[in-house]
Parts: sequence; structure tokens; C-alpha cells
Amino acid sequence: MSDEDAIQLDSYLDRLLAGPDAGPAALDALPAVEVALASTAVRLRTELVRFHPSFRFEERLARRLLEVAEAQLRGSVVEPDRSGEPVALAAAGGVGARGIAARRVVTRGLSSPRSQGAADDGHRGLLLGGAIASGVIASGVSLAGAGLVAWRRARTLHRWERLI
Amino acid sequence: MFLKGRERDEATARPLPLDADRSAVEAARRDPRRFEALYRKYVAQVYSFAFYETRDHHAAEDLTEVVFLRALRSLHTFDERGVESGSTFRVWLFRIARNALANERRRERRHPQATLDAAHDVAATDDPAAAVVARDEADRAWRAIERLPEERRRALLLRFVDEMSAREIGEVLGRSEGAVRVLIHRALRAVASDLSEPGRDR
Repeated sequence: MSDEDAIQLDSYLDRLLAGPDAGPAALDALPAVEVALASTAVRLRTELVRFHPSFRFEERLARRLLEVAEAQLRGSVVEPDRSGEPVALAAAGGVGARGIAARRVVTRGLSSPRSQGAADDGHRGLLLGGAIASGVIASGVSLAGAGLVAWRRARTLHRWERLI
Repeated sequence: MFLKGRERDEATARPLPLDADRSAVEAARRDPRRFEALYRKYVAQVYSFAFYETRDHHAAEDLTEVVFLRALRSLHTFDERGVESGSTFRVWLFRIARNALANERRRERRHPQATLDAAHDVAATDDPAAAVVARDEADRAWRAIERLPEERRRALLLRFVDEMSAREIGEVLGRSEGAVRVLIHRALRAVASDLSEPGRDR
């Protein structure tokens, strides 16, 4: 493999991952990439979806952040986290990694509309709370028992994807 | 960090990217409550990074919490012009995530626990047959990625899941842009080879 190969692949990935945002001009300048690498890239683009935490978690953490922010505004002592250890958060009232064992299982729910808009850039698959949603097009799917919801926007194949 | 020949040229030849979050960062510095906008924007990206690294939703939630609390508390230290701080808020945030993950890994080594493969917890589709096929395909890809060395795997995930550029990934991982391109090329080739072998992951 030469550096040139790596640069070509990088350029290809830029266009592939940009999706429709790359624009038609990008098609004319599509870099030549080995078919095996290109097809694998297309596959990973589809299967490596972005996950979204549960609405409940997201809102709980938002409240926690607001508490910390208000404490900062009040001039309360908010120790900078220099240790890098999760325990520092537990001491400050957060959950932290050490809270895993003691915490009850949370049934994941719908994501907030605000965060959906921010996190889903329009062409990425997005999963909620770990549900696998390959092939599910723009629909909420009820999961009896699990209480998980997932959806995925339709992802139009781009010209270079169809060429593979 | 000292850069060699080509890497140095690469680093100096291209201007630093504009930080799309600059105004939000400045607002959050003036009023920490405004940090929520940055949190909402990046929570899924950070959570995804954490989940792909830990394969456990609870661990990913905890890591996400650590990252955002640390970012809020340390926002005054973020300097988009500083080499150590990263060129953008997103890069800086993912550096925090990388460090938090490293801390968690060290803690796990001291106190090992069995983890769940959360991706196998549930399947979501109306069509059970399609679900089986999709899940099998996804499983194969996951296993191929899991077999990659850590740095290659992380570079690949940041590229595909978080859609970072090679330059951004380099800033997160502390590598040059050229080195990241090579990492990704090798990672993709390894995954392609793995997926092309029938029964490799059975």
C-alpha cells in the first residue's frame, strides 16, 4: 500500500460519508478505489450506525449538567476533575462508572425531538438505546418486552454506491 | 509532540478548520447553562463512541456522563488555537472521551467484570426473517471490526460512526493526518479480507 492509496481512499470516504451533501460535482471527481475496499466502505457506512442514548438518560444528564452550571454561576466550589477517575463524579453527586452495579435497569424510551434533530444529520442511521434497526425505514418499531424504539431514515444509494 | 518531515509539512500546509461551535462555546463560557446546546448536539456522537468501545449501554451512559461533566467543568481550559487543546470543540470533546475510556479500561483491569454484548440484546424489525439476515450481516461486520488492533478499530469507528476527517481523528488520537489515513486503509483492508472469507467468524 502506498501513501497515494491511502490518500485516494480518504478522499473516497470523504465523498461517501458526505452522502448527498457532497453534491453532483463530487461524482465526476470520484477517486479510483479498489472494489473490495469500496464495497466494504459502503457496507460499513450502512452497518456502523450511530447510537442514541435513551431519552430518560439524556434528560437526566441534561438536568445534572444544569445543576453543575448553576453551581458554577453561583460561585459554588465545583472542583475541576483533575484525577480523571469516575469516582470524582460520584463524589460530586453523579453516577460515574462505579454506579453501574448498583443502578437498576432503565427501560429506554423515545428520544427527544431536539436531540434527534441535532444528532441525526439526515443521512446517518441512528439507533436508540442499542436497538438494531437495519432496514427499518423512518418508522418507530415497538419492541414488546424490551421497550426499545428504533428508527432509521431511508438512505438513498448514491451513484457511486450503485456502481459497486 | 515533535513531527517529522512530511508530517510537519502536512500539519503546516493546511489551515486549521474553523470551529463551527465557536459561538456556542463562547456562549457557554459566559453562561454555563448554555452548555446544553453543545451537549444536545454531541450526546449521540459521544454515546456512540462509548458504546462501540464498551459494547455495553450502561457503561456507555456512564462514560458519556463523565465526558460531558468533565467538559463543562473544564470548558475554560479549552483553547481552539492551542495544540494541546485541539483545533475544535468536537476534537477536544473526543479527547476527553478517549482519556475517560482509558481511565475506565485501567479500572476494569484492576476490577475485571463480565460485560454484556449489548448489541445482541434486542433486534428491532417487523420482519423476523429480514431481522435474522440483517443481524447476521451486522454481527459479521462487528466481529471483523473487533478483531482489529485497538488503534485501527478506533480510527475506523471515528471515521464511519462519527464522520470525523482524518485530520480530526489525528488530533483525537495524537497521530498525524497521514498516519491516520494509513491506519484506516489498513483497517478497511483487514475488514474486507475478513468479510470475504466464508465462515471466518463462525
